[in-house]
Amino acid sequence: MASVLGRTFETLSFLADDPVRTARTGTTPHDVVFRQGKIALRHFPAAADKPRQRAVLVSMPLINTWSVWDLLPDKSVFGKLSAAGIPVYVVDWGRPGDEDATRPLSYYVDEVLTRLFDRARRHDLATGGEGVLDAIGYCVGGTFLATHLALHPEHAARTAFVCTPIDFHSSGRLVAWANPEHFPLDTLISNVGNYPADLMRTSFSWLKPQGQTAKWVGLWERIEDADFRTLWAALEQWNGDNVDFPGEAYREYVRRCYFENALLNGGWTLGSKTVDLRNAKHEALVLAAASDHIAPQAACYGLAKTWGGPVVLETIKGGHVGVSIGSRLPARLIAWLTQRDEN
Amino acid sequence: MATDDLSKLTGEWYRQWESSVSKWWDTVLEDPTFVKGMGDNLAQNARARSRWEESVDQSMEAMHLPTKKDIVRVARIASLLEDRVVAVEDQVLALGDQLDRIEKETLRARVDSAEALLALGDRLAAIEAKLDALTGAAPADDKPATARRGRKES
Repeated sequence: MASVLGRTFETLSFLADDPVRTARTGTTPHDVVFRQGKIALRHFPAAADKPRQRAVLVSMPLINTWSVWDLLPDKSVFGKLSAAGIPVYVVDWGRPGDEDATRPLSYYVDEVLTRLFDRARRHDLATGGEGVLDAIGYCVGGTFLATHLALHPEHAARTAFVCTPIDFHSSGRLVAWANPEHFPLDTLISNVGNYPADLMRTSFSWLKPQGQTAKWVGLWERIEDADFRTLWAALEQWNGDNVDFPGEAYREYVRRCYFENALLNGGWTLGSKTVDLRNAKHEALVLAAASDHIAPQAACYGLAKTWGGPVVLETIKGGHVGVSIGSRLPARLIAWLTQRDEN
Repeated sequence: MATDDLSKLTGEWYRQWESSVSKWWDTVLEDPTFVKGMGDNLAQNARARSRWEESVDQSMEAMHLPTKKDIVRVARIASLLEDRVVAVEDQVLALGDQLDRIEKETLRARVDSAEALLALGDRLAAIEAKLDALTGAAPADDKPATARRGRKES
């Protein structure tokens, strides 16, 4: 009983210091090589002591901040990739404001991503690279990337999709909720402009309500582990730091992806261009997370049904966010990105 | 030992509870009645937010202060302006690329023409040498005098 009480007391003391507010994420050294409004292209240079590999552009999801892949120095996917000699360019979408509510999805997927690929290629060339990029997309960032590559397949030499939903009608509970019969998409966007971050956060909490108690129990059980405490606080900070999703872009994203499953079924014209993933002929790696309740394996593996090039399908142990802080994801990405040198 | 057992027991109790609650949530969260209720709630929430923002804007207007709509309009103009600047930057970069290409092509053309000129000089020298050899070898009586003179002058 004393141990249970002691652990409870320790947990409360830890929380009393407000560790979530003071947690520091995104601390791996990097520079911003291009900025357009709130959107930034962040560059993590390759380690000087390793042979330089081909650069990679990473498209992060628009619904959260980019720092989930740079949560802590020893849990940083970007840090591990750059330490392996891979120059990393990260798409940071920033925090869209009300003035961005009318921007269409084509602005982000076509115009901005085209520009960011261009700037990354130029920067890579100027810093001694070959000016050819591989690409990685995570979560919605991967969906954006796949859509972009359907329009401009020449922008990436190879692409890895991590926890990226493509077959949205296999997205489990999310697709049951984003049902055109019940989900008031037009009412929502017409009234609120951007899809608010707090609603986004609440929706994700409701996807798996028991996760809310599990995280507190997890903290209580491992309160004596200092590393776990630090990670818990950093993850909590990131988790509570959603950003608004630009309204018109959200309207088109939900309609095309969740309502119509257009990446698989076709019939999607973005701007004036037809979105057809068969246009992309290069190699793709799909990494799904075994316990992902946001982008389940079937939703991620949907890419193989529609991608124009060869597709490698793999599943990593962990959840949607858990894979980002584990060691398996960066290890697999490094092995895949540096593979060509062994051939 | 006893305290460890108690902690383990607490953990075990929690996991059993979580497992049963998860099953219950699974049935509730995908139930059409729940999904419809959630949609209705979301729509009401959105309308309420919109009404709230309108009322705040009206209050600001009454106080002759800029409303949120005014600020958003200005921010939108600034952001569109930045888009144009970046688009111009794109064009400048593309022009720079074109200039680089032209410069490279010009340089290549110069090198090619210099090489061609050298080759031409070599060929000319070879022809001259051949001609000299021919004129030296030919008997003087066979050639008309004017032709011989013409050759020498050239």
